[in-house]
Amino acid sequence: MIGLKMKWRHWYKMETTIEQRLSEQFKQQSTAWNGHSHLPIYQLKKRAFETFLQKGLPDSRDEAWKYTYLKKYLQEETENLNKNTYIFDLELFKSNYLNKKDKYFYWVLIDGKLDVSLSDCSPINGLEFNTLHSESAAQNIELPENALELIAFSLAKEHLTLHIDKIFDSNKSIQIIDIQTNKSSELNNSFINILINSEAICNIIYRPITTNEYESKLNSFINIELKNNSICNFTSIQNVNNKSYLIENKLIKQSKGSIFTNNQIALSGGLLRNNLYAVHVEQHCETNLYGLTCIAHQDHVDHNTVVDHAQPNCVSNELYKGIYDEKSTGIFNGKIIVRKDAQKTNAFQSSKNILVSDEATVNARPQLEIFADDVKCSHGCTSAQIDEKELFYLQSRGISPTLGKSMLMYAFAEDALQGIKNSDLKAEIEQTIASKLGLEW
Amino acid sequence: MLKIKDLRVSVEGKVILDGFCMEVNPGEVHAIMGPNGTGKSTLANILAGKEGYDIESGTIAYNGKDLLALEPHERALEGIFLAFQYPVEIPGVSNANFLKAAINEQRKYKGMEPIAPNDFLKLMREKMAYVEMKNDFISRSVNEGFSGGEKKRNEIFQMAMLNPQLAILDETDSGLDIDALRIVSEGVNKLRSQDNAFIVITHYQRLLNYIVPDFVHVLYGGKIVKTGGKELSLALEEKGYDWIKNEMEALV
Ligand SMILES: Nc1ncnc2c1ncn2[C@@H]1O[C@H](COP(=O)(O)OP(=O)(O)OP(=O)(O)O)[C@@H](O)[C@H]1O
Ligand SMILES: [Mg+2]
Repeated sequence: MIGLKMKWRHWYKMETTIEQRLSEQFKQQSTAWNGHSHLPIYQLKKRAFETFLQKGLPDSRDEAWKYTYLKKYLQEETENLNKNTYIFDLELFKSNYLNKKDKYFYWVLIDGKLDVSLSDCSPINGLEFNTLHSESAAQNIELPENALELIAFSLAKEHLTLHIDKIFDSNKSIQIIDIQTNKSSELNNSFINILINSEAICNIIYRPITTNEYESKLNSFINIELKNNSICNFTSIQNVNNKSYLIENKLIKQSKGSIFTNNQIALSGGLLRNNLYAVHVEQHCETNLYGLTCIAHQDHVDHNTVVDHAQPNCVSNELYKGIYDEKSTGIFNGKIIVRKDAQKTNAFQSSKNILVSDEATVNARPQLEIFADDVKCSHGCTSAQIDEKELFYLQSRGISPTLGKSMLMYAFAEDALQGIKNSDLKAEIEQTIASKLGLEW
Repeated sequence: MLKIKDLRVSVEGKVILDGFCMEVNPGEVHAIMGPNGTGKSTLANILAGKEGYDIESGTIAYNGKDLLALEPHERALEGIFLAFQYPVEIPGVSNANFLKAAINEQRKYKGMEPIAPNDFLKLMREKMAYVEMKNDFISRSVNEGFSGGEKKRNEIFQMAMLNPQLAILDETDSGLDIDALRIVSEGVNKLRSQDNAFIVITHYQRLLNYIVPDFVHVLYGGKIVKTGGKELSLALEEKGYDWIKNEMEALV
């Protein structure tokens, strides 16, 4: 019997490609569009999916996917599913994640659908939201280029769009919680579209969550457009169980004088793959990319960033730090493109990593493609080490080497959090990192 | 409390201490003086357990225990404290977190519960007053961006927080202005008791005007060549080290 079952599974895997499984998913979802499928948004989704099928999934021939064999992750099937025993505990979720109504506006996606009752859907000054079914859903949207964005765009059950205006009160942050409660081994997809109008200021937090017990796979596509002189501070917190996979695609378009800051906080997850592409559509933009990775087990983090200096007089700063323990692996691929016309560009990049265990590995690769001549560019990838003098100083005050090392790693991480302006959020992240490092403060 | 016998130490093949002997009892203050490069900091570092020194022979007993067999943090937990000549900056670790960790390690060692946050703050405030530390200091990173004098004050502040049994002050007076010198010395004097002891390494009499030593030792040629009371430091201030060097050579 067992032999037979094994064989069947093997056969099944051989025969059904990921593309086919996704096609099946797409077909099922499009039946839910009944009567609306002629609307522009659905036409666009259809085109996106067809484009994806033509492209196919990236594989190791693609430079950017050399160290993350995507198909392996997507192919994997969820084991030991018992759909009947698991109940999503709404009250617990509310008290854990939606407990700071005074500090955040919450938007909650449950299994890809906006939960209106949990989200702040009542009118907010300077903030408008749209869903997939709204009239304007297809507005402002161009067909994305890469396969994962196409998948997310076409398969997302919801298109959450936030329009943020100048009059929006940025003292409160916007928090988007993307929770997966289903136990299917299929890929879940989210599409979030953020449009920031001229001179608007906003803090946005994106928090994908999987339930503790179950593994899930989430592919999200976050499209952000910043109009003139707007400011957006974005933080993604990835802290899911080791069986879950998160793929996050961010596409950022910046207009004149805008400032975009991204904080990529990777704390736990079987696969955390982050693609970020920021392009300056007009002059005088500033892009700040901070990343902090603190992982263990066999977690695999793969950061892929591209800053596309397509216009003159723009600045970009990038600082990614990582602490890798046990058998975790990390990739940092940071590309800076300075186009021919992008004179007076200032672009800085730095990636620093600490390997806590001998079995952890990191592969950091900066890539500069510079076609303009009047530019200031610098980059550096270093593997950092615990400073023996600092450690001795701590030890000389009675602090054990183990605790001392943790304290120094915490200190090492600290400046990668400098981009986070929301003090409540920062404290939360610091606390999580401290406890991951075994610190009790 | 502390018994150093016939210590011979070298660094990278160069002998620094040779035939060094010293004994310190509870309640005593010992001053060690001596020309630059004679091994005063070396001695202090060896007591604290710093790596990189070759201890070729000799013994150090601390409260009857073999000090050299203890790890640096174990020595601290046993009550040894070194106020460094050049304190290290630790960016990213706040003074508050640093000291809380140190105090809790000490409490754990004694089988006590971690200190309550309020008690910790109270203790901090109280001891900060000892050395007139500024308030913003709590949240600042350890020694980062501190002036030379502030770093030295911070060493004494830490000492006050940890309340060691044997404190070694390595040129804590250098870099201090006149007021700071007084403040730091008064801080030290407040901590003096019948149960603890101090080894004060200094080049100048002015510190010893405030922290009055029971013994003054002169370190030269790898060992203590002269020991006296506080009057010895006054003589050194007046005459320099040459007469001692000459005396030594006359012996040879
Ligand atoms: N790591 C080392 N490598 C090489 N030489 C060293 C090392 N550490 C100390 N020394 C040497 O050992 C000798 C003693 O140094 P030490 O710092 O103990 O002197 P000191 O008496 O404290 O001097 P000062 O009064 O200037 O502070 C010096 O000659 C110094 O250069
Ligand atoms: Mg010295």
